[in-house]
Amino acid sequence: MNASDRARDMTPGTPSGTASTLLGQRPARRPDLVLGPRLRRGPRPVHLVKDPVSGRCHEMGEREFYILSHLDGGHTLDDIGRDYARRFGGPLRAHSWERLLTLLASRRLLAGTRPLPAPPPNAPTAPTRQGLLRADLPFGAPSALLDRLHRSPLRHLLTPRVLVPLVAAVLAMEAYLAVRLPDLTDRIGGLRDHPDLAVLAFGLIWVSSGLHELGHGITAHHFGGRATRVGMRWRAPMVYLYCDIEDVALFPARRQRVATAAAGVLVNLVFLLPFFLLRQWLPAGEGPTRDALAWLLLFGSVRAWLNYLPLPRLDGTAMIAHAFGVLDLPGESRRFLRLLGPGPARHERLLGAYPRRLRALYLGYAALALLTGCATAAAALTLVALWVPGPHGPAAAIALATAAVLLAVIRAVGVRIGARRHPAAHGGPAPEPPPAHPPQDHPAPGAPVRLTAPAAPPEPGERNPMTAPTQHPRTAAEPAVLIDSVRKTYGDVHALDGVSLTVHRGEFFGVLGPNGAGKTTLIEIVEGLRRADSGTVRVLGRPPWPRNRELLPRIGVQTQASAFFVRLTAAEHVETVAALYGVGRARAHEALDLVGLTGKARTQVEKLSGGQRQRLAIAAALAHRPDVLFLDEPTAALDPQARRDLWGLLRDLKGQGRTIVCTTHHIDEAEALSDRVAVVKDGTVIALDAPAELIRALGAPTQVLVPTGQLPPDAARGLDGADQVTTEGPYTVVTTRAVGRVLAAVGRVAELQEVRTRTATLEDVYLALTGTEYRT
Amino acid sequence: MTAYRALARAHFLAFLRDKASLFFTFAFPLVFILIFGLLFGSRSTPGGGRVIDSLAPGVMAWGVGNGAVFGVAYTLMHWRRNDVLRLVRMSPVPLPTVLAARFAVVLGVGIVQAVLFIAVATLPVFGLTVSAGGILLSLPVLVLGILTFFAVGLLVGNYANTPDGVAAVANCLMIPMAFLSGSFFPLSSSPGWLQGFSRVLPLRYMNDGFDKVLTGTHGAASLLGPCTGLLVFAVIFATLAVRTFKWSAES
Repeated sequence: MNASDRARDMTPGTPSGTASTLLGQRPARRPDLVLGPRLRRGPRPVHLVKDPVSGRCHEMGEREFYILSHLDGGHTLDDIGRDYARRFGGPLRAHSWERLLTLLASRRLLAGTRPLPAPPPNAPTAPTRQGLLRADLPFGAPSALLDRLHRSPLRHLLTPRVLVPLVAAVLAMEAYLAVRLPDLTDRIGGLRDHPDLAVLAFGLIWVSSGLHELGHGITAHHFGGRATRVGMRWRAPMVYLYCDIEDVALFPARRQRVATAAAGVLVNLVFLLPFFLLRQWLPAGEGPTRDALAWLLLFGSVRAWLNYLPLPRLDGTAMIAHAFGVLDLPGESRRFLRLLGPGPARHERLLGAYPRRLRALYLGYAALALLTGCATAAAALTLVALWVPGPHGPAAAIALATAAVLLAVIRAVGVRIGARRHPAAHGGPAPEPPPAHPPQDHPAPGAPVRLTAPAAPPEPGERNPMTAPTQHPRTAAEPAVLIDSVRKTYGDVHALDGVSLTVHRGEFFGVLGPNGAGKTTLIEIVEGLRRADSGTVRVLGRPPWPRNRELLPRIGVQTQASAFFVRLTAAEHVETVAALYGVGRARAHEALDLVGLTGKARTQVEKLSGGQRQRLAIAAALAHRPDVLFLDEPTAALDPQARRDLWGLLRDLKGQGRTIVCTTHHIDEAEALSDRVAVVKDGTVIALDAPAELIRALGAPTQVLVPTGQLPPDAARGLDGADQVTTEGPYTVVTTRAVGRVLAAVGRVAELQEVRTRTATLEDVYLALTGTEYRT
Repeated sequence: MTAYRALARAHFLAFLRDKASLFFTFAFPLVFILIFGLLFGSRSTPGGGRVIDSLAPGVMAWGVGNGAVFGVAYTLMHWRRNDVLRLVRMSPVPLPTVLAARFAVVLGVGIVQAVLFIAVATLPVFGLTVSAGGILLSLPVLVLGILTFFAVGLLVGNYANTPDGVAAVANCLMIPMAFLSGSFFPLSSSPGWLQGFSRVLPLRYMNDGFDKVLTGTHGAASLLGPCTGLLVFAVIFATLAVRTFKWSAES
């Protein structure tokens, strides 16, 4: 019995009699967890615990963390509880143990629990609100680049032997520049006549900003952290580059955390070093160049050092926070200030929780940030006032200050409104994810299976023409599609795990499966859009990969409903696609007519409805009359009538001898149209047969419904072959595995016109096979 | 209709029906010439010529180059994003045909841009003087320049996956390049090393070409350098663009 089983068995309501057995156990935490150092959030000591598999970071209180860190598999809970009692001045009761272990197990932190899967690499991240005042433009994940850099000889830069002289040189440069400051400031005016040099210097400042973020990233990487994203951020009125780094708060040593925050500025200054040397070396005759360098050195230095200011979002704040081991220093500082102000008595109690050292820190930081902010603003305005020539200086400074205040007010209001409109972004409940598919016209989950009609069991000898595989003679030797032992993995995920199947010529072949089962990957491999890792794929006897220009005209693919040439009309779109296959306009219009879109021929594709787009995509796939047609959810977003129309169209196409491979979520569709159906789950084919065969193999009983007036339940129980009798509204329901005998018996007592039968459908087969809830 | 003509028509109609990009493509360079031309156009340069005569060729080169880069990069990104590229990929059309059709439209747009620009700049208010021979000699520069920036646009479109990405990358390339290759002001007063550096920028050669021949001051022989430069860049960028071409966003 492993730890997870134990944990799962334990619920808060377990009787206390199990306490002694519980305390004798030796559960262990997952060995791969990364345990962070003791930090503070507000007054509370917390630890971060990272699950390296799911990438999640859990924040835990000190007590929970104490237990987790001592669950080493060697000590019993009893031992740990005794130490705990000594440490925290009170024992842990049985039900607390249970709650705690249940919590740890549910978070999958105990050994033996299966870790939560990592999010797929291209999973949509929480969208950041974009607007006039704020926007993010992520460039991507820098991990690969950092990895390469860190393996390159550059890694030697991160040793003290290099770093110490480098820091010394940078400081010497800065000292020299500070002493010769007038020399620099006098020269930068010269740049006005050289916009070319100004643009270049400005560009270099941006390059330096990029390297700054890279500096954070590579330092974090050096200490085992991970930079997840670099990009550009627009927070009016500032545009800056950013680098999100996970795990910094997990670094055990304070030195490492502070160094990661400090590294960016050092990179900025090191970047300036060669330009400093160049300027020293250039003869005085190179006037404009030396002026531009003066500007670069001055502006670059100021920009670098400004980052060390203790203002929110700047490196200086991060360094203070890391040095004192606190999370969210600006936010907590603000919260502390709010508690200091007048308020309910509760505030007194909350304030009491802050140790003296933390009070000093939060208060001190707030004062420091306020002073720095004011001083920076004052300095900036003074500079502007001095810089702008003539009497307009003070006016310009005042205008700038007003603009800044206005912007701050707009932002504050914007954040308020945003908080009301998007509670999720501010810690409120997450919004419901949108349903994967819009509601459609087939029965709701759990609704009774459809009565009679399409799924009536085929009588022997009178096979349903739709499911008769012999209707189309398989003329050609090669099958339409041949798939043999195809495998495909993305990272650790086996998207396809040895799939083999054959689609015959002239067959309507359905592919069913839950989302993420591998359907799309399979179809894309067959279409030649992806390459299989191993295995054989043949379409009409030819390999589809690499792009096979002899094969392509013989297959047609219905692409997603958005894949249209922009701003063309429906007719123009189909004409264009047809021309790609060397097919003329007449056939294009024919295809348009076939899907019933002639009336919309002059409508722009952007203005078509969902169903019209769907049909247009099919028309585009049909215009060149392919032998094999691949359809992807062909009737998604169609109303019931359009859906039936499209079914008719697809049957006609099949009637012309075309092979159709169709992935769908709609099981009734697969049942109504397919000669054979493959059910795909977890990258393998778990069933493949004609729908009727699959239903028969399920062996589900049939129900015969007779109006109760004609056949009361008591009379029904005596019928030959009746297994079970129930009532349902006006009907007596006879459940049987011998329909023929029951119907014969019913025929003797009731009018058969009013009798209905109800059999298992493909949907029942699907549910039984995949074991997944069928949702649309 | 051949595949080439169909694709060119699709691009052309899409361009024609997008009023916003139509406006920016044609009006943006005109706005520049309006502002700078009216402010400084009638002044004379240190060399004795008039500012408009050196300003107009540079702004025209930048306007045409910018239009090509943005137009191509946006289309390519959109086509890949909404799976049109996948639709093309599933048809038997060879990649060169796909690219040639796009190039034809970019070329047409560039020529119209240039004609419109010259027509406005030669209005008496701005006072640009051009010679018929100069316009004729400008053609090879125009075609090679458009080819070069078409390839740059393909490269940008290959890497950018969002409209924001296209705008960011293309602007980061084109704005500094305009300043550093003398589109908005002559490089003659720049330090020597910067003039040297500008030789690794394709826009420099387009500026040079127009500057030499448009006003009729130099003959055909003066185009050898600019045209060779543009051709070299076109080959380099086109090779890179075809090598890095992606049919779909993933893998």
